[in-house]
Amino acid sequence: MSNQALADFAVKHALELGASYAEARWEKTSANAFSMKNGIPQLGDFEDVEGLGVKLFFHGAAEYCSTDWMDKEHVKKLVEDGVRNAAASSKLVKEPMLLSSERTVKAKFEVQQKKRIQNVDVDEKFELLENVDGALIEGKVKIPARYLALYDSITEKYFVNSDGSRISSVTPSVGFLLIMTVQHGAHSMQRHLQFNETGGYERLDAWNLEAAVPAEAKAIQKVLVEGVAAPKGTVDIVCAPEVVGIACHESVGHPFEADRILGREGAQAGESYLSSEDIGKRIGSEVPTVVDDPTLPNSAGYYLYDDEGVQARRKTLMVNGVVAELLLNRESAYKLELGSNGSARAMDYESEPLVRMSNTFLAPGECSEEELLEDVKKGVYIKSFTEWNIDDKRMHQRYVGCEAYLIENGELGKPVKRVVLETTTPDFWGAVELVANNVAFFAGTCGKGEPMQGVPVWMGGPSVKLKGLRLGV
Amino acid sequence: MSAQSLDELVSFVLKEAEKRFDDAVIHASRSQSRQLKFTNNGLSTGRLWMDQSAELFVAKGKKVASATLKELSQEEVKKSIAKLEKLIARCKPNEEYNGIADSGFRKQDVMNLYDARVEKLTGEELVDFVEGGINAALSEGAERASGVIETETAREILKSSGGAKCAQKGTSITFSIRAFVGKEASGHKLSCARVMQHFKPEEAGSRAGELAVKSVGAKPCEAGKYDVVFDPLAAAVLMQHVGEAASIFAVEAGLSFFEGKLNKRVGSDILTVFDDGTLPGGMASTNFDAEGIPTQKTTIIRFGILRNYLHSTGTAKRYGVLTTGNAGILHPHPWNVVVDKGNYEVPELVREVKRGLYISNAWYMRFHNYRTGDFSVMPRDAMFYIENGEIKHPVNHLRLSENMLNFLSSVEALSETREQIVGWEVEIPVKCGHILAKNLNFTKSVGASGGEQVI
Repeated sequence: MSNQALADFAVKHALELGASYAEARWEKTSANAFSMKNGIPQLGDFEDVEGLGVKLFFHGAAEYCSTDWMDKEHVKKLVEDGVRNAAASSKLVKEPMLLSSERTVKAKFEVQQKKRIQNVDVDEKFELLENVDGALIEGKVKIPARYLALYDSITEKYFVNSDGSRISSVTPSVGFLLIMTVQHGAHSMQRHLQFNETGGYERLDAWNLEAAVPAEAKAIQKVLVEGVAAPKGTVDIVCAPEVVGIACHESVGHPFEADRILGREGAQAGESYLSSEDIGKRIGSEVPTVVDDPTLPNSAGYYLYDDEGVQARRKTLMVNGVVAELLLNRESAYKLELGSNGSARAMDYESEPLVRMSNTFLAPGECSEEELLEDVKKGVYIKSFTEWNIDDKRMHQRYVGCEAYLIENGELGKPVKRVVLETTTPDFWGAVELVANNVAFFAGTCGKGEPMQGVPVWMGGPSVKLKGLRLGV
Repeated sequence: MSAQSLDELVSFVLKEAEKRFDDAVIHASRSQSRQLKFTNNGLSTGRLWMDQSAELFVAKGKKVASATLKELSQEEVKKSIAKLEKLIARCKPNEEYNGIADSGFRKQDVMNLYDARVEKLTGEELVDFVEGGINAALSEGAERASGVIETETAREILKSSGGAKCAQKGTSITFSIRAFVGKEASGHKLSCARVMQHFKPEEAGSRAGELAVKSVGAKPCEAGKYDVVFDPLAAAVLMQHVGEAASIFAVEAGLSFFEGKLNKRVGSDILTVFDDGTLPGGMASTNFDAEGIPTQKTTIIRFGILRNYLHSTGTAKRYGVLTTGNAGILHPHPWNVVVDKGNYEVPELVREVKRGLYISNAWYMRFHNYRTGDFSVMPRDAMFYIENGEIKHPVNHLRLSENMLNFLSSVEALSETREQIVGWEVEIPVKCGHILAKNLNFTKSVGASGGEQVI
């Protein structure tokens, strides 16, 4: 029986056993990873993983079950055990599981590769790591510890549900990770850099790692050698796209996830400062507009149909500082009497789809970054960050600068060491006075769910000017 | 499928691998897991995983490669070995690689790793545990509770070209519950165990409910220095990093605040911390490591002095020491971090505090610099202000902004009773009690005016 036929069988068998709804997702991922530590190649690694995940509803209870055994006997047992478990669970179900009604979809999509992952040999991958590492060493910056990894994967999926949707996809992706320690005298700083895009190895051309990575090391060295203390008190702050991206992700993206708002992630990932009645509520100035868009070509969070078979689309979460739209899957959409906006993602076939971000960013303004800086008499420009965190309702957040500079009379001045922006969500978004047009994206792995699911995302936006925020210590 | 057929498969894979590689380790497992997730007092989703996987580690000379497979038929495995052979031929030599263990194998049987009663739990029984835990929280006055119950049964077999032949089966069960009063007050507790006799879901529910009720009406608190009594759940969030930082891989990769500190003081003189793969009933306890060496109890910190890094056979050779049974072959890692007990009762710890905090949970710990140990972490759920040895009132919205070495040096007292903690924020299981640490730094989010704004 083919893998697609097994998925079809799982849905059919669940319905035969009395399930009110069923969906199945077959996935096969072939992944490769290569690493280097302190200039020494470590190992080559590959993963060939394949399996089936089945979601079914029985007597109002929802069950998500998965298996690595791709044969009819095991899939049949999986579905039967799943129905039996759901029957047992139904005793403690307070609200029967129901989904928003969505359009049935029959579709295929494939992310195209120019330089195909399958055709890039191992020599070339190790050579790339060696070249980046070599460029770091040639930069004459003292880097006592560095860990580099290059990775790629191709994921094939087939989704089928009892509504009649059938969607096939092929998504290749490539990524690079660097953790480096830069030292000067007794002091050190660390930088984590991550690149991730969907597509083939042609995507690496734009990353220009052999130039970009040494430039990061030099900038950090400059902070170590020349850095001054951050100014105390209230100043204007210009945040570059990397800092804007993490703020969009943490204090807009996560709290706009409808499942958190409804309490479904309450025990671990947490809840939200928003309630389901907060559409139309102002949380920022009239300037910022924040978007989540899975359809950005070659983005880390790219997909055209989500893992519940709903067509993906751009979602404008916050419009001019006002809550406009939540991230929704079919379960949360039903509860809020809305339609899904295609935000259900699963890390793999072993994971249930949850409400997730894809590529979350601040919409661009019209001025240049230089024009943002022009208005600042005394302030700080934060280009990148290291440590960050936020409380589980997404209100109290902290971003510690990595590369940062004083701004004096509209010009960038000396580098600033360890500037700390410790603020609240309304303070941060309420302080946005001006937005530039220099949109850039940064890759990350977003964590949520139990067990933890990490999914690839982009975070970004343009630089912003924040009027009068207090810097912490 | 039976464990016997898994054994045959591993033997087949090893035989095929030995024909092509100098070193080979095959580690295969089959497991079945269940989870029930509950939200606002009702079940939201059930989960069932029927998993199998095999991890292959091979080396030819100094060239090293590894693979993870899910399809374990002989045909697929042969294909994967051919793929590994092709891969390793093109890999660059790893000049640090020093081989796998070829001696020191010994059968051991760590206590309380498997309980047939866990394996045989029915869906109905799991639902009853959840209902019991929720009701215990509600009976304390909580309004709602969310969380998960999880069980796992796994069978593992490991064989190597060095001569390792290991097998074990294990079970685990975890109940994690967060109780709420309104939107702001909450308490979180868990019970995790490998055998049923140590599993106490209703106690966890009751304690979570009690904390939630006591944290109603929390007030903002000034930033500054405080003495802190950490509940085990909060202490474990920090202490797991002692285990992580002790890995020689972390030291070499610049990810350890213990770099260059061997046999030097890294903590207060009352602090002793072990890594223990043999902890009876330990959530990560195992009879053998990733190269088949029996696990052991290794002293990381003894009376404040860093005594050992964690090694595999290969990494140990580079440093002229013996393996500590912590392979990952290239990346040694801790099993269970065990903080030695003290001699205080919890109320006695509170009485030691003139001006301080009781922190019941913490989350989102991130390092500014792993090498220096600078970090911050958010206290979460119930937190209380302590004055003159008495808990006064609940507080909120502070952030512990500290350094790990400073934290370890600030430990002043430890409770006698300890708990085992594992979960979302504690990936490396930690066994520890309440910890009193003095004069720790707290910061908070401030607005333009320096005051706190709430929308």
